[in-house]
Amino acid sequence: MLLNTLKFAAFFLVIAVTYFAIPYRFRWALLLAGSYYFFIVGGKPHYVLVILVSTAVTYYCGMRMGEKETRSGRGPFLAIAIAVNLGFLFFFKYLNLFGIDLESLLAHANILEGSEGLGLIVPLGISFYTLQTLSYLVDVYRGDIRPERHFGYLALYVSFFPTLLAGPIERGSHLLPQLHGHYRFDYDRVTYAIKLFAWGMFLKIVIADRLGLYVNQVYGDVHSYRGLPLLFATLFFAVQLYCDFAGYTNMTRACAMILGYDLLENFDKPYFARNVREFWRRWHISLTSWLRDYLYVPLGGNRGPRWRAYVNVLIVFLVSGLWHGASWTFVLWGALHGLYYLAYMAFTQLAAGSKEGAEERHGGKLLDTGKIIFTFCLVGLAWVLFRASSVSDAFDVYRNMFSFGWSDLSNLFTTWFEGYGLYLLVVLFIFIVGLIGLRGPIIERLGRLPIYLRWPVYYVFLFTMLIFAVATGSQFIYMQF
Amino acid sequence: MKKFIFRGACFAAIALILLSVLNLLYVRTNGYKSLDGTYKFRTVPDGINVMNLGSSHGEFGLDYGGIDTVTGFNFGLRGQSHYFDLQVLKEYGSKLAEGCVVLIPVSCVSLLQGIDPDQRILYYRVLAHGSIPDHDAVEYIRFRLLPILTASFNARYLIKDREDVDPDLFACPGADEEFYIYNALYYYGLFEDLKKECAGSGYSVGILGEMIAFCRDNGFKPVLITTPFTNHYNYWYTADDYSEFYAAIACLTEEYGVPYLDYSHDPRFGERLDLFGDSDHLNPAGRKMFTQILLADLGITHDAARDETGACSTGKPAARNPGPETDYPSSYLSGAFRGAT
Repeated sequence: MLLNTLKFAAFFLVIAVTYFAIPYRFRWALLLAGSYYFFIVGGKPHYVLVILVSTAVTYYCGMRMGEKETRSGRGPFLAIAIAVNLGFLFFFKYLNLFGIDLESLLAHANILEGSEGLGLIVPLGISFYTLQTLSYLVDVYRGDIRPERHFGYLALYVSFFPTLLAGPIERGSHLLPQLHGHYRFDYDRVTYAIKLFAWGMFLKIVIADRLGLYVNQVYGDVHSYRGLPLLFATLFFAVQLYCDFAGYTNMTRACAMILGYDLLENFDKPYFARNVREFWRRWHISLTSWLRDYLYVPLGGNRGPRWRAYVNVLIVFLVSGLWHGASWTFVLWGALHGLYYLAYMAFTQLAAGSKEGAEERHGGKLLDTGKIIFTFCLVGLAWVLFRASSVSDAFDVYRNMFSFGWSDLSNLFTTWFEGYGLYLLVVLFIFIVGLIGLRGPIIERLGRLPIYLRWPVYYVFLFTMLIFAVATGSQFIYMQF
Repeated sequence: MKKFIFRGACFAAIALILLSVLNLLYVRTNGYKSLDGTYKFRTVPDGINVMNLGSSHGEFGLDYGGIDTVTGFNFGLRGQSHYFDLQVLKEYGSKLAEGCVVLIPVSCVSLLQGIDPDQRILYYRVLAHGSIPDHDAVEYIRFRLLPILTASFNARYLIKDREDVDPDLFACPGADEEFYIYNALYYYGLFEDLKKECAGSGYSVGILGEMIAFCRDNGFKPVLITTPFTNHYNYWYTADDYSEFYAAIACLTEEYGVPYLDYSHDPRFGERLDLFGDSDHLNPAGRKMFTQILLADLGITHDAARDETGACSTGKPAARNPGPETDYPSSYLSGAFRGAT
């Protein structure tokens, strides 16, 4: 069940109305039932066992860790829980990376019945809820949070439907206390959330899906294109991916907000980052911070010799790439970002003359603009690996995307960007909105306008969305991860 | 909560009113009317005595201009499968005069053609939504009730009229022979793909049978026709391609006694590239000539058209053509055209 469908709207309406109608003590049960329904409808019903086993093991190990005084006593339970959760993730997602076709394997073992099998895909949201589960376990192990004693709340934490498909990757310390909270219907909160949802929907169905038409056409057959189409498709993909994922995050946060919950932010205008480090502080924040807290820091972080910090960074980016998908394109994408990051670290350390806390100094506006463009170009080049169907396709894109001459560029202007014009306008619109957003949250500023100005803006926005939406009902890109 | 419900209801009501107004304005634009060929179904006349179904051959197949005794209508949309031929026939059956001749264009391609999802949704504008396979209330609202929701960039016609209204896709002025050669190859490629897709799924003969039975039950006169093709088009099709097709048609003609007129290899057209918009479709001049020949062959009009074109004297239809004069007496078709010259 996709968030951009009427089916989801009907589902959420039922959940929200019932949620505010029933006593507080039953709400967790409603949300849990809704989350499991969402999981079953959205994926393969039998995978509900996977999330149930994962939750049960997490609950049991969490409780047992809570009984132990020392870390050494908790250690075995942490190891068991991590092994089970990562085992599921590895089994469903990464076996094919090693050339093992899981479906035929299961069919061979007579686990799959019938010739069409299960149409095996990874269980819905497994990459996301596994990280969420691991963060809970590690936090309990470290003693940062107490284990959740109510199985229902823990199950809800693992499967909470707004975050299930593609995050944000929540933390136990952030979400679990909220799940115990009592929230009344709040007009301002709910109307703000509806606007946030609408904006997310706009980003997805008007911008991302529109750009996706061009991107899919070019990247679907990269060998048929040379020069500008590849360059433009890469630019459009950068914006498509942002709008798709940020749109999803807005929608998911809005759903939770209506019910009273505040989910983690995932984006902070990432394409206005002045360097790669800043980009990663602004892009998919919940994943980046998870990797920092549960991988980079345990690996030693930037403590110890400089080379060790570099290795740690590289490991984190490789894992990040691998997390996105069981494909060498993602691994290379992660490695490339790791190299960007290392180059940036080395540069700033060289410039600052010290290792600790080396940060780039802010320059003037012109210099900052240059840095933003340069960072965007680096990130955009890396997106080629992210989007291409195979490593060889990606290298073909790299080989051919710059093979155009001045005549191609001048033709572009004489034909007024025929074929690209519409998409470039869409991209321009997003960057203008981003620039306006730099001065403060647009939705809040809009909300301060009087109703006779505000509503016409809403109607223009609504009709633009209704008329110009690409009605393919396409799924969110990050759902595949 | 009350404030939220009140304001929400007001917002939704205003939105609905504005949307309806916008929709009303949109459906009146010439851009919408010429969008996908579906608007013509709002102007279907009563008392039709020649109904032309079929895909692009149905859409652009016949030109009834200047033939006073015929109330004809082309019911085809581009890429129309026989499934939708049948649904259109049922939906608009009430518009047909008793004894109406129902022309059902068939070809090697049409018998393989399934339901194209992009085409399927257009029929919400043409048919009752129950006739659409896998029909969906949301699609019905979007495509039938509020087409402004599917306007996308065509919404610009709200501001400025469309300039190239109803372009004739197959006018193709000044095309040289090379165009027809490559075009024929292109079409054959599509046919090959279709064959691969449909391997084992069989021909849609059952649907044709249903159409013929429907016509018979309602007093209409079905006629299977294959429109003329260029020789370039026919060049690619092998004996095997045709044998399956003709076997399927033979089944129908035998079982239902329905006439079949085959102009696919008609020498009056095959060499005459000036009569074609592409290798498969007649251009306006070809359409005019073909209509006159077809109506004469059906006994609806007399043979003056043949005399005018001067083509008819050169021959009969191709060898495989059963020929209307020999197999089917003109009395078969006379009912709807009493008084025709």
